[in-house]
Amino acid sequence: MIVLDAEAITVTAGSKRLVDDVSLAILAGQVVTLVGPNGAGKSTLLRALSGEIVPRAGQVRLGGKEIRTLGPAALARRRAVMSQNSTVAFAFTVAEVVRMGAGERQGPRIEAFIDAALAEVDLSGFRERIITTLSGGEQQRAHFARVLVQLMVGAETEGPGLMLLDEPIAALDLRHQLDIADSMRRFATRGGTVLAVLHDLNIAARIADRILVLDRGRLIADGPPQATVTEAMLQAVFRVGGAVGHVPPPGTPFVLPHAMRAMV
Amino acid sequence: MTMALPAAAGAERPHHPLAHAPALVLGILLALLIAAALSAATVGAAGIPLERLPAALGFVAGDPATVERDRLVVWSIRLPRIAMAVMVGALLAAGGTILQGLFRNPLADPGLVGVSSGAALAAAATIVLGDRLMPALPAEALPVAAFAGALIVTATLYRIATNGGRTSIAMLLLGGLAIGALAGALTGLLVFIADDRQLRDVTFWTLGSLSGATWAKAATILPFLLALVIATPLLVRDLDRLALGEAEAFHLGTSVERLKRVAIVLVSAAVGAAVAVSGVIGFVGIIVPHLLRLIIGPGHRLLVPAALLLGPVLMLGADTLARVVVAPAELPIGILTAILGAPVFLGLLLRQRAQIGL
Repeated sequence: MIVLDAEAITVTAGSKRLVDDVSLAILAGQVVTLVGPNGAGKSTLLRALSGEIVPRAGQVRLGGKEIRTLGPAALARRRAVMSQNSTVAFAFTVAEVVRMGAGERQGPRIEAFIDAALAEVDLSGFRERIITTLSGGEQQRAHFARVLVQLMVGAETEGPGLMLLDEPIAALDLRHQLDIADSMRRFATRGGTVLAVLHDLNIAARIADRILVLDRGRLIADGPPQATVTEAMLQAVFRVGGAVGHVPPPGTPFVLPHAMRAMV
Repeated sequence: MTMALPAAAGAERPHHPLAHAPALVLGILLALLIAAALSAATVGAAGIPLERLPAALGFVAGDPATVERDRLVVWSIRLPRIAMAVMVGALLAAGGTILQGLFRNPLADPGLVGVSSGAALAAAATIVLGDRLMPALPAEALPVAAFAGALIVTATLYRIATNGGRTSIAMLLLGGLAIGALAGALTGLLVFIADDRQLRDVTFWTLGSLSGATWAKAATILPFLLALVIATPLLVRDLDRLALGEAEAFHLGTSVERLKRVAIVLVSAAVGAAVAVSGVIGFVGIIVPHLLRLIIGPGHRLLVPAALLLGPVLMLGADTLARVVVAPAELPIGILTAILGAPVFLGLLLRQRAQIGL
């Protein structure tokens, strides 16, 4: 079942094409990662897919419905989004921020969702802490917990939803990177769908069913990790020489890059 | 962004001690409001001791020697002034709270960022120019004009200070400064073409006072207060979400453009109505929400109703003080609110120093 699909979408800023004629379809239960160099248009593509910005051309459909016809509230029941560097104004506690994922719903059931989500991101003891006093990585985990709660609430009426994440693990230490990565996988195992912008190709390859490679606004590769994370791709897109090895048994690729200049 | 390191986990004191006791908070504030109103009714040039108040209000028959005079003082001077202080305080405090929610920053005070100046300019223009166009201007014209002035400033300010869903606090404060200066200059221009009676009225707007309180004035701003009270519940959840950013609020299910429009209109209505009857009284919109956030936290569900109650308390307290400190003369109330509010503003500014980039 196709959860999210985009048909020839183009997003422009002035004369620059930030996203250039991108088409894709994401199936239920998949973890898809979106990779590419800085400025490739990954965040812009994610914003277009979330309904936050309207593409200049093309269509985005969520569950087969044109995204522009769904209002913000209907969208919020079906998909949750974690933006890059969210900052919280005012001294809200971690629990208050995570509770915002639940909308108008309250009560013991919602509190149980919040507890479960905070446990999942290893912030159980942080409920009553002021979120802005946490470290960048801890704040990022709290926002991930908010996304989890929004999807738990949405699942009650709409079934498993869609997670759109913009660099969800960029500020995290190694252990919490793996925790969040595992959490994405678990969400997909339960029928949910994940699209995440990631910088770390090794984690992208480790958790993804499919990798999308974006370069200068264009989608230049779309396939399983083995087919997309290749030395040719690293050279063409990231301008680095690479030693791509493979971890047995499924043959997940791993990357040991070195700068091109050093190769000359 | 740099930030003070959190205290060690073990040494932490509970934040926002009353965040989870809304009934208690609103009960305490209501009691404070009643106490402030009683003292405002009894203190003043013509002292009316508390035990004479029931008779003065007409609840019981009083001493014939004093009751006539007391009734006159209470019903035609004290009570209209109390009613106006309560309404203006509620409008300014709730208006400031919503403005800060909209701009995602506790420094946004209607008086400081030019919203009040815009309202005062529109009110002054209505007096000076409107008189020439229409001989008998209806009393309702003033709050409506002030609302329009506040609306233009707030909407302009939002465009100046917000880019791509993020508010620049430096642009907000500096843009507000420029708008306030422009509105002040234009008001000054009006002073030149005003006649003597108009001049008195225009000066009143720039100083800010409750001394001209009448039942009629109070009645003209009542609809604005009612609109604010009725609209508040529709807004509070979305203002909380907006604290995470415009994009995040949208992702959580808020129609952000609608929220911004409603918030801008409400703030303008609140500030415009307050300015129309009391002139520019600064800092109420910053002191009240700041104090409340320390005690009950930033959640707007409780913050806005609490501001609607604490604003009147502050206003009644400041006005009563303004009436007694230099009795029988009277201090402009704006001086007192500035003495209280400017340090609060400076404290908040210092705390945000890193964020502003100074």
